[in-house]
Amino acid sequence: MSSTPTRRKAWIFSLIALLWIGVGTSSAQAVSPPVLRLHKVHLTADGGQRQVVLQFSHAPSAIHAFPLSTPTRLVIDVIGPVLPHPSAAYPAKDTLLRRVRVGAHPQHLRFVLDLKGEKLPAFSVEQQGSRVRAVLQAPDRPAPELRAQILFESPEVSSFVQSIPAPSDSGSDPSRSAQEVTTTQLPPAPKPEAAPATPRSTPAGRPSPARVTPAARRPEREPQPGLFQTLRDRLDVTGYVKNETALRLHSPHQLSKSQNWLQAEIEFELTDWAELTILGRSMFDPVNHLETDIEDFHASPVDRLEGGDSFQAELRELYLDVLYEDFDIRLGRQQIVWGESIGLRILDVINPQDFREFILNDFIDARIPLWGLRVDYTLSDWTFEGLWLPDFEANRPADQGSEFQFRNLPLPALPFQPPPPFPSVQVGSIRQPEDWRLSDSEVGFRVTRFLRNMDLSLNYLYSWSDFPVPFRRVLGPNTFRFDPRHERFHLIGGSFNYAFDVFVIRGEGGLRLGEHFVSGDPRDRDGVRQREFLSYVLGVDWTVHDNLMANVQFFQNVIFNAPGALVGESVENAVSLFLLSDFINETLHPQLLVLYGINFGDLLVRSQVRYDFSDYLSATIGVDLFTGSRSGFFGQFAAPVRDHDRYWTGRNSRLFLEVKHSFAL
Amino acid sequence: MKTIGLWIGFGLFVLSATPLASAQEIPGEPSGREIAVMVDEREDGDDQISEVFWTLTNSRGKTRKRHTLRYWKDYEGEEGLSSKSFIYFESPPDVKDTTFLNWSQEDAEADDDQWIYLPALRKVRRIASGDKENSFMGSDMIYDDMADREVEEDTHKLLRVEQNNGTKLYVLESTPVKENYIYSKKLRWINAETLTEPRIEFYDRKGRLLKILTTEWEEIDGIWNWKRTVVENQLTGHKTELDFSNVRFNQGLKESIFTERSLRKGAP
Repeated sequence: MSSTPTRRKAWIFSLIALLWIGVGTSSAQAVSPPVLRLHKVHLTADGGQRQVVLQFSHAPSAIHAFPLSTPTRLVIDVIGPVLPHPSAAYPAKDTLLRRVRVGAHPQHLRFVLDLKGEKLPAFSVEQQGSRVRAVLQAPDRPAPELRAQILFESPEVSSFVQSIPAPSDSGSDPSRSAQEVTTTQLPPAPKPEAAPATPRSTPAGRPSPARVTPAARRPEREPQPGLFQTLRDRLDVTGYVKNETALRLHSPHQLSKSQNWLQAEIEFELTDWAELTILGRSMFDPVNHLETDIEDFHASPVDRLEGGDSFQAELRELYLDVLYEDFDIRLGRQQIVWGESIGLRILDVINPQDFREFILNDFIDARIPLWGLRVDYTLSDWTFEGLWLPDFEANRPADQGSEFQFRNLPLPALPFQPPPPFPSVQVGSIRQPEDWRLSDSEVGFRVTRFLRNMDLSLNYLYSWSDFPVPFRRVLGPNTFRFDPRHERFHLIGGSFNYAFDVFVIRGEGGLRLGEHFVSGDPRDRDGVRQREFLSYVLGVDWTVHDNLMANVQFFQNVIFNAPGALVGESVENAVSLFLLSDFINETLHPQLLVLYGINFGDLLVRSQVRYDFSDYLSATIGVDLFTGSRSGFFGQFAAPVRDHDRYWTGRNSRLFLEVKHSFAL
Repeated sequence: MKTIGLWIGFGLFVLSATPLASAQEIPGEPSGREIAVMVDEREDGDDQISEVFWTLTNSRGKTRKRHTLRYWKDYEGEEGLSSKSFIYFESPPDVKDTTFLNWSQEDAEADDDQWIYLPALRKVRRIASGDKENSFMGSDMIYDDMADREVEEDTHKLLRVEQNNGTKLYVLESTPVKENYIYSKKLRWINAETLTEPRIEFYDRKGRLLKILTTEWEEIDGIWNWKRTVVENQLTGHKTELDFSNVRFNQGLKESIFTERSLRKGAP
């Protein structure tokens, strides 16, 4: 890759990084003073009184408390920039306190302590740093198991909440929630209650027994939440570590890979309408038979770091999502997926593909993300999508001599039979579009519509071929030169699905205008011809049973006006079968995918079983089998090791094992 | 890749009024059908947002947990729809960002429109909803349990009146009109004052007690809603527990929440 595109990518990357840092900083500044979050509502009952403690993320600016009657209530307004908290009621199992209700207002959170009985007991409300404590006098002594109740606890930030000591004479577990002490065999029948009334303001001049202590008069006991906590609240980190090991089924019986992956995805909520996503991964493979010479891949140093033959680290995706009214804007390095099919790609051709494992790894891992802009506009059941991709990357074929090196690459026919000795053939460097040049950009549009029982899409893409086409030149009576070039084409297509009963019929097709193909006509001037190319798939999903889903598909590729002019088949047909099941309460997941090339009778069978040890740990074992004619797309990996070998399955067939552990921080 | 269809639906547990039939079973009390109609007409709000924490426990005590956000909007027959719902999976990490959209049809015989977005595929896929006996996301509920079942689809008989801690409960027997329905009957305990259902027993086609659903209710903004629900399969020993929190009603949810956009973008 030329240095100019690299510098431009680096520039864009830096810009987005600065944008991220800038927005992140500004968001951090914008929360000064930080927004107030409710962490916990805690009730303790001791001899002679009840304490209701409201624990916040930090100290409120002020509090204001007042009583109301009919029904008897104590209202506490907690003042400060507040994070909208859902209106909710937290029932208590207590003889005095019925429940605590909370409602969000623009500048304060309002808590209403609904009390039992008609007479308001003596009470006091005071602020202690990030806590607000209401103390109510109560003569009775509740049962031991009801002396400490957590009425509400924010699950996300519970680790940041300081523990609240239980009464010293309580034998109950203070961490046990009110929900846990209720019975479920036949739950307590709810008593009819009046709908919660909006608390009214205190009548002017009404005396209040409350001792209200505004925060301003109190020394701060707890530090303000730092930048770390603010960031933590806005961060979402997930990922996995996994090992993928594959063993060749035929000689030489050896591991073809033992990849150890670490992938992490970070989502950072910048504002209510903007979010940044970063997805990176690294891999170490001490076996590494999937590559031989990684230098031949046109990698961008910004996107990927490859060390030696067995290590790589890659920035897979980095994008900024902006939601503005009915527009969704995604800017950055991303994957864009179109289409309906399973197993083969028809319209899903926006991102190029990594073929180092042929088509055996998941598409989400095989797609090569691109830098670009995607804008969606939603209008009722319609979605309008526009794409601009100034970044170009080609498909990454497997390296020469590696496990899944393509063996059926076509070359143009020679215009004449060169005299012996063998002709001299020169191969030029690949000519490809320049990154970030407007005229070399790819653009696309899609319109989708949800209908009753049916979805439709219309697609258009102005793109580059992801594989280069070898243009031929005659340099002399015995000398030829091939110059691989990526060429433009227009893709017009669409997709549909239709659901009825337990079936979903799916279809997807694309017509490529001006696609370049290798010519089989020796008289051709440059060995390449432009043709229209149609590719489509029709399939059906069938929910056979609660635990079994089946999918059958028919694929066809048609090159128009091809007979006699092009190398290869002008019409290619394939069928697929996909079965998906689960057992043992969705912990055992068998899966089968069969792809059969009709023209050459070649076959790829992928069978696997995954077992979930837990929600985070799973193991998958499976086989990938190639068989049939070596002239076929799948059969090219079915060739026997030696001519006298007789295997039903080809030499690239493999047994694999995957162990994966997901995490969330 | 996660199973398509396995993550279908999770969350939408609006176990609406299970219908009953008519007859004057107990003097001085409303008929079974009248009670069923009253339950069916119980206020459930125009829309709702809630968090649901799922715990699925098998007979050996092994548990799996899910955390979902659910958005629901009542359409009351508008556009031929009964309701729309949108569910977002918060955890565990391997299903995070999975979303599910359901358009429930007003016509009980019509199939719902359902879509799922699988992050592992980066695709929105329409899924078939014709088989109502499918498990609802691996839980002990099936799709039919969640559907807005019409009163007329069952005959309803008031078997008896019980008292539980001073609360009057109607015990209804609801028998499907249609033959060979998934359940041969349901027994429903209905709070006479709030019209909530603290307990439902489901009997299979052979008349065996299949599962028991018990529910703890809470009133929010004048609307009764599930607070905690436990479904126990009596034949397999599998159990599903649902804990609802942060329930909000009548938030004025926008139409745009229930579109393909939200499927791809996640929780609003």
